[in-house]
Amino acid sequence: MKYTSLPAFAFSLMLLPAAAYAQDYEAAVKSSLPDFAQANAFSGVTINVACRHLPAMDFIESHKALFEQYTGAKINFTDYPENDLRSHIVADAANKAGGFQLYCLDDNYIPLFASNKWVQPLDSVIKPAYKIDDLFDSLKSAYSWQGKLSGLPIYSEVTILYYRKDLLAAKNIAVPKTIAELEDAAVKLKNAPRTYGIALRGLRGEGMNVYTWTEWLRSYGGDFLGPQMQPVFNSPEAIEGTEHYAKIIHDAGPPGSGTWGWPQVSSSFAAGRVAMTVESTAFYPTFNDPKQSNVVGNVGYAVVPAGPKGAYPANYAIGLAVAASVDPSSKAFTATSDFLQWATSQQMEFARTAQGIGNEDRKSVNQSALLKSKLDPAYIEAVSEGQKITKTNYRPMIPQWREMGDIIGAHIESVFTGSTTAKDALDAAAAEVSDRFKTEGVLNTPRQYEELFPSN
Amino acid sequence: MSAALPLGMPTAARRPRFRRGTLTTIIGRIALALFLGVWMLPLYWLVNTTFKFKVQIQSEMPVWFPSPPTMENIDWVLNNLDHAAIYRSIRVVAVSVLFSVIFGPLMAYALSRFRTRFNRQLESWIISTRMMPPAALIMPFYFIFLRVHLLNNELGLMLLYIAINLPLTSWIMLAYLRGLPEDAEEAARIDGCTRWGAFWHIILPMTRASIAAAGLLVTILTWNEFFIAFVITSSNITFPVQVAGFLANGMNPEYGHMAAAGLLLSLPTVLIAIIFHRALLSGLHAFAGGK
Repeated sequence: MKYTSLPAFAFSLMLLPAAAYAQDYEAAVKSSLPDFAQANAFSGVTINVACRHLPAMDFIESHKALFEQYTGAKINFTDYPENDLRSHIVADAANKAGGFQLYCLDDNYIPLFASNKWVQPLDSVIKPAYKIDDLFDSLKSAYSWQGKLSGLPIYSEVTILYYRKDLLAAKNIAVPKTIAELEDAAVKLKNAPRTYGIALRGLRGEGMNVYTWTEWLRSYGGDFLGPQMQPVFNSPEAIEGTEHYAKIIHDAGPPGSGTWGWPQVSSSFAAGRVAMTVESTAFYPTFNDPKQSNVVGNVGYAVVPAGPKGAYPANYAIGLAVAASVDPSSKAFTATSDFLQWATSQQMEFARTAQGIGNEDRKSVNQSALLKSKLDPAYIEAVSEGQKITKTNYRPMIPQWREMGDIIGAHIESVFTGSTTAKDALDAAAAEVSDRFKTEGVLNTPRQYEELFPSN
Repeated sequence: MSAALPLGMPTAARRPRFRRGTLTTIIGRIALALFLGVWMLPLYWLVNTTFKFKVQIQSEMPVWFPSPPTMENIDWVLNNLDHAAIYRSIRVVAVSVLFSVIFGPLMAYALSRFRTRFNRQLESWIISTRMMPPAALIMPFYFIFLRVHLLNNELGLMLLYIAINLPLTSWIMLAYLRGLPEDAEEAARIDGCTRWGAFWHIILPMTRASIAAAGLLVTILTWNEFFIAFVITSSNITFPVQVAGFLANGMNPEYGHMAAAGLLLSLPTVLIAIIFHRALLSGLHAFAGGK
C-alpha cells in the first residue's frame, strides 16, 4: 500500500457512517424497540397524540406501526392547525378530559402546563437507552420546569445569521461578528431598489418580532422582569437595544419591512432581495431548495452577531409531553412514556436525518458524519455553537410569557414602523404588563426563573 | 298597449330614450355579476390552487391557470387522508340527518295541529339551539359530555347534531304545514282514518318534497360542520377537522394540500347543490315563510 493512500483510507473510514444506507438507520429504529418497551405488553392500550404536521412528527407517525406491532398498543395521531392545537390541548388538559395521552407542546408552553400539573413528570421513567444527556443542554432545561423533566423534544431551532457570500465578497465585507459590524455591513450592502441590506421581523407577536428582537434586548444588557416580577424591559439598555433593531430596519431594510413576519423575511432572502437576515434554522431547507430559492450555493452561515453584552441566539423547540390524565401507575402510562422515548430516540433522529429531515435535537446527530454529508459544514458549526450559547430563559419561561410577549410585540412594532420612539413604546408595554400582572396576582411575587443579567 | 309584455322589453309604444326598466335591469345584472364573482372567487381559488405546483402557488406573480396542471396535491391528500375520519363523517351525517328527517316532520305536525297556549313558546324554545351561536352553545355541551363520557365519542357527536338539526327540520316543516289546508285531512278523518293514518296517507305524500329539501339542507350543514366536531372530538375527528390539519407542515404553509383536501371535502355538497337545487330552493323558500 502506497503511503499516499493511507490518509485516503483513513478518510474513507471516517466517511463510512455517512455512507451507511438509510435502511441501516431504519433497521436501527426497529431493533431498538426492545430497549424501550416490552414485547406484547400493551395490548388494549390506545395512545392518542394531539399534534400538528411537522416533518419530524410525520416521520414518527409513519413509523408508529412498528411500535404497534411490537407492543400491541394502538396509536392515533390527530393533526390540528397550530393555533387550534393549542386551544384544544389547553381545554383537554384543564378539564382532564383524557382525550389525548400525548400533547405536542412548544417549549414555552412547558411552564404553563407543568405549573398547572397538566403534564406528568418524566424523570423516573427515562431509560438509559434514551441517552438523555445527548440532548442539547438548552433543550433539556427548556423541557424541564423547576428541575422536573416535563416533556421530550422532537424539533429544535436557534437563530443564526444568514448572509449572501457573493454580495459580501463583492464589497469586500467580512462576516459581521458584532451588531455594530452588522449595521455597518447592512448599510453598505443596500443597493435599493434591487437589494437591501437586511430583513428582520417587525410584525407584532410573541413568536414573531419579539422572537428576534429579544436578541438585541439581551445583547445590550436588557432584562424582562425584576426579582419581584416587575417589568424592567424599558430600562436604558433595553431602549438602546430596541433603537438599534429599529435603526437597522429603517436604514437598510426593504420599505415597509417594519411589519414583516417570517414569511416575508424568509421569502425575500430566498428571492435574493436582501443580503442578510437573522432567522431561524428552520429556513435552511427553504434557502437551499432550488424550487423555492434563487440563492442556492451563495448562502453563508454564522453565529448571530454579538452586542456589548454578548451574543444571544433565540431558541424554540417543539416536543411531546404525557397528559396528566394518564395515571402514572397504569399500563397506559408505561405504554405512553415508552412510546414517547422510542419516538424521540437517537435512532429515530438518525433515521429521519438520513431522510433529509433536519433540525436536530441531539449533539451526536449534530456532530455526525451523516449530517456533514448532507448539510453545509458552516451551517452545522453555526447551529452547534448557537445551541451551546443559547439560554433557556432567553425569553422568560413562565406561564404568563405568551400574553406578556404579545403585549410587548404590539408596542415595539410601532417603533419599527417609525410611528413612536423606543422609550415610549417600551414604557407603555411595561405599564400594560404591570397592570396585567397585578390583576393576575403575580406582580410583587418572587420571580420563578433566573434572569440572564443577575445584577437586576 | 304593451302592458302584457315583461318589464324592460322595448316596444314601439314606449319612447326609445331613457327607460327606467332597462336601466334597473342593467344595474341589477352588473350587481348580480359582481356578487356572483365574489361568491365564486373562493371556489375558483380552490380549484386553481389544487392543480398548481407549490412554486406556482407561492409565486409573487399570480398564476391564473395552472399550466401544466398537476395531480400532486390530490395524490398527496389521497395518500395522507385518514379514511376513518371520512367514514365517521358519513356515519354521523347519515344517522343525524335520518333522525332529524323522521322526527322533524312529526314534531312539526304535532305543533301545527294541536294548538295549546304554549305553542309559541314551545316553538321558540325548539329553535333556540339553532339561533344561538355555536360558540355559546358548545360550552355547556362540552361539560355535560365530559361528565357523561360522550366527549370524543361518535354517539355524542350524533346526538349533538340531532339536537341541532332537529329544530331546523321541524321549523322548515312547520312553516310548510301551516300553509297546508286541513280540509283533506279532515275528510280522511271523517272517512275513518286515524290521526296517524291521516298523517301517513295525506300529509306525508304532500310534503315529500319539503322533507327532502330539509334533509338535503341539514346534510350539507352537517357534512361541513367544523367547530362542534373540533371541540367535542379528539382522536375521533371528522373529515372537516382533518382537512384543517393540512393547512401547514411545520413552518411551510401547504396551500396546495389544503386546497385539494378542501375540494374533496366540498365535492359531495357541491354535487348535492347542483343535482337537487330545485328541491333545496323550495325548502329554503318554505323556511322563509313562503308557500
